Amino acid sequence: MTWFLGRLVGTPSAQAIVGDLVESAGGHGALWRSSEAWRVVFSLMRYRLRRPGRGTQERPGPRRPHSGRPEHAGNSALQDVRFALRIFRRRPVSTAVAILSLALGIGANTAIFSLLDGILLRPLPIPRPEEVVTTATVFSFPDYEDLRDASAKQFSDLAAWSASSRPYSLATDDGAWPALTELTTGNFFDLLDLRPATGRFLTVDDESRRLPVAVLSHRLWQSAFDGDPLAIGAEVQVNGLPATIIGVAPRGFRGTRVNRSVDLWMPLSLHAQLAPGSFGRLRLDSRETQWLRIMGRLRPGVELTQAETAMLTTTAGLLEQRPSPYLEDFEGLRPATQAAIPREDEVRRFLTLMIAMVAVALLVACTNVANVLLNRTAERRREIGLRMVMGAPRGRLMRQLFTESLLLSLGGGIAALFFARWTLASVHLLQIPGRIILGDVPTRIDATTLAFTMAVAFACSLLFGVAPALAGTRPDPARMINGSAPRRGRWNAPLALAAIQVGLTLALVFSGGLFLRSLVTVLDVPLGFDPTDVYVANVDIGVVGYDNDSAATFRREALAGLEGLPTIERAAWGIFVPVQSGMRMEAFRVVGHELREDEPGNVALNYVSDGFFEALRLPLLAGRTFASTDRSETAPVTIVNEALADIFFPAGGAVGERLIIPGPEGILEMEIVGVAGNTKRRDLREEPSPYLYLPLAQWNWLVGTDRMKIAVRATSSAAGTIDSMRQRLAEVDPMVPITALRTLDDQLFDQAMPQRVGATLLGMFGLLALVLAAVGVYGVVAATMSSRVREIGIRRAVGANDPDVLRLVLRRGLLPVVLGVPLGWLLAFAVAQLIAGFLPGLSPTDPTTFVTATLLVFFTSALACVPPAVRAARHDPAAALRSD
Amino acid sequence: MLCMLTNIVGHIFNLSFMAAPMARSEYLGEFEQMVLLSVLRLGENAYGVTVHEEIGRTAGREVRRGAVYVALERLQTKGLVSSAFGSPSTERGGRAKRFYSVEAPGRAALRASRAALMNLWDGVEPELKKL
Repeated sequence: MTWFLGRLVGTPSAQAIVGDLVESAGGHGALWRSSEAWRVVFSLMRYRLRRPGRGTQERPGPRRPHSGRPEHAGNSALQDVRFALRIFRRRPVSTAVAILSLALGIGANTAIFSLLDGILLRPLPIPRPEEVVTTATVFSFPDYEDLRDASAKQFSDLAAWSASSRPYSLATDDGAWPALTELTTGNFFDLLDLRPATGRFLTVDDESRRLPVAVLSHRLWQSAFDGDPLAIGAEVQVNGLPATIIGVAPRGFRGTRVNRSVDLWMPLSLHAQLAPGSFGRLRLDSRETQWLRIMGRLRPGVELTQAETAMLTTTAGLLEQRPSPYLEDFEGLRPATQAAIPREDEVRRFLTLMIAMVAVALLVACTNVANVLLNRTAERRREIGLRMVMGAPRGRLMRQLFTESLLLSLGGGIAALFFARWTLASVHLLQIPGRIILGDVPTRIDATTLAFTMAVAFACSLLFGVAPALAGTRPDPARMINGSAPRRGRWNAPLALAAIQVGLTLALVFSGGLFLRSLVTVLDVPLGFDPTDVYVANVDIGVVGYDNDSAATFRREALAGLEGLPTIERAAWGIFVPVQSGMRMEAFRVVGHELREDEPGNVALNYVSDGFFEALRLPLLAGRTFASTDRSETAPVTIVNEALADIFFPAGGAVGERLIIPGPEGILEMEIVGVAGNTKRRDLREEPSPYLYLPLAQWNWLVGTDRMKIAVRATSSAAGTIDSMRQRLAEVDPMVPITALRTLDDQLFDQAMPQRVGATLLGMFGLLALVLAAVGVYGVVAATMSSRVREIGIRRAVGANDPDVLRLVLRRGLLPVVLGVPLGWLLAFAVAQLIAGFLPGLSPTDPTTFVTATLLVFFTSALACVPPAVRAARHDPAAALRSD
Repeated sequence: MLCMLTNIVGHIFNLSFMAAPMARSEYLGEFEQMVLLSVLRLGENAYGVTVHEEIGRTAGREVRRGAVYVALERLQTKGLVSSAFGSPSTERGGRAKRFYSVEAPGRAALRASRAALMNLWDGVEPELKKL
């Protein structure tokens, strides 16, 4: 809004109007959303555009075909613009189609580009990111100090930080927020050279005096404090520790990794008070615990390799004093921008694929618009011919046509920005390879994106403006005016464009189809349990000061509270719930069995409360499940899965056998009391492998206050289950952070993320392209038909009937399809090679997808021929013959 | 690209300010009269916001803001009002106000309109009462 009136049109009068609007709206931010403001802009624009031409020329047409004297350049450009706008107003539908095609095509490009910009081009949104380097390995705090002091020549600063692996709890008066936290040395923000959005950053003084102060991310500031500047100085509790908010990080800065969204930064010296569990017991002054990552800013002119050499010398010196596996592993430095992108190769490939796809969609849109313009130029042949005869130079006419396409792409570009915003908002939950959640990527429609969009729009206008401009002004005024068809060259532009369009569309539909098929395949995999109506949440009692005993009490009371709800059938705890990330491995042996080479010596295990198998409807094949009688003082028991039983007890009879696993104070032996069915553990594509279930009641001493998952089976997908679960858990202890409370079905859906993203985005683009191609084919057929009205009239007069005419039209209409489909096949094969890496288990030339996509494109195109065919068939032959 | 866009749209917008004011006296529309009278009533403090409010308040009629700006611009083109920019203020995001004042042709046009209407009203009152 402000952008529209204020910046774009920097005239003082426009500024005054913006000022008025700001004053009446009482605020700046909401202005562009105010419909009144837009109405003002439109009324003024309408008034100003209409006024100069009013009264002199009502109908579109050349106002001054050729005045005989040289026109003022600025005025004639303006004249071109005004003329183009009149043309647009006369043909609103085709103008809207053209602008919409472009908006969708350019918008999709802008959205993907802004993601690519946020992830690959600016993974680290700080000044001069190329100077910042980081280590791949971890160090102890004294090691860090040594490195810092020894490499002062190479680095202007060296900071250390440790990231919390799970969110801390930030409690304000209004509630608790989960916040991934980085504990940093005081020079962290100085090193990054960032400016706080408000307040100040951590300082070396904060760290050395162990001040309980915290810096918020911009996002957390918005959600927890509504972006209130008074948040600075507010008292909060972080994991129960009273702390003061001192500042807010700039918008878009979410830590040093694109796949982790840090929300809170606090001094490293506070970690003993802040960090829960075993992490909090790490000692800052000990060289034994290596847990800090190091980041440094190179002094100007220092190369990464020089700094690396210096660091290796220092670590070598440290190694002489004492052995350390981490220091031995120290391989050197790498650019922080590179470290910021996990699995960079895969991310790069994925985004490249996406940008290639949207570029194709844009090409389809452009060919479409080119066709619209070509057809329109064909309709205007008489007018253009007249202007030529009147002495208008060809250059002048071409400029006129070019101005039209330029204006179209500008309109498309502006509408594209809105479409891009919408696209970004609607994909913010998706996650791409590298576990990057799209909503975390700082995507803003900023100067770079804007420049990109406008560049694309301009390229489009060149691409689709030139062909019509050339074709439309081929000097042949005599034929143009008498309305004869243009002399056909070897190159039939509309037909070729439609064929290209069909080909590109087929490639897009095929790629979308591949992802979709892979998605269906993945979701079809049997899981080994029933995820329907199961709700799962993370419950982290470690961060709010529980000990082992009170944790057990909390868990008992939580289960009792939840099972008291009428909508809840069964509730249970587990360290893991199937098909989610994370697992624990332990060595194990079957008592009385010699381990063979081909048998696994390690097993994944899970600590679960009784009720776990019932809650997940995980079938029990033999024996019994855990019961309330399995307590710490009774004999240790375990349940194995089918895969384990099949390997070690192929003849059956696993129940009653005994297993051993190492414990902190010697070997622990337990009896197998049941065999459960196999489930997928982490990945939908994995093969079954051995798995142990251990009763939580017997392992509370070990599990203690670790983060656990609670799984609840609801009687039906009752709407209020999530709220009533939260409420019940809050009744037990309101301070315990409950995160990621969702249905298991939803979480399962995340498992198929790459397929889902691909299917969603490519499906969207494929559908878009399909519609555009249909419009394109329709345009070609309709244009051909209108130029062949007389011919059809003659044919009907000499006895052709309706089916004959229909056949004639279809033969013409399917020509671009017949030419385009083989082109599409070639493209599809090429694209499939690109995609193959993302879809294991699916042949990139999957015949089903191939045939389906081809048929879909074929029939959609055929369908587009029907309306012009029907119209041609219904045409009165006498009228057709009379038409000029 | 952006530059070009700015130029084109700038042309469209600027044009109205480059046009020479026409001093031709014309019969005023009802809405134009309302705007002119509001500007007169407001005196020193007549700018977009106040004019819009004044019409809404005194005429008891909700008018579109855009219509006010269009009318003011048309009146200025006709030479009936003139405008000057004030100094920027923070509550308006650092933007100046554009103050309007009625020029002599504007006053004349108002008087002419009033006279015309008064003449037309003359002797109509009894007819109205009949209905």
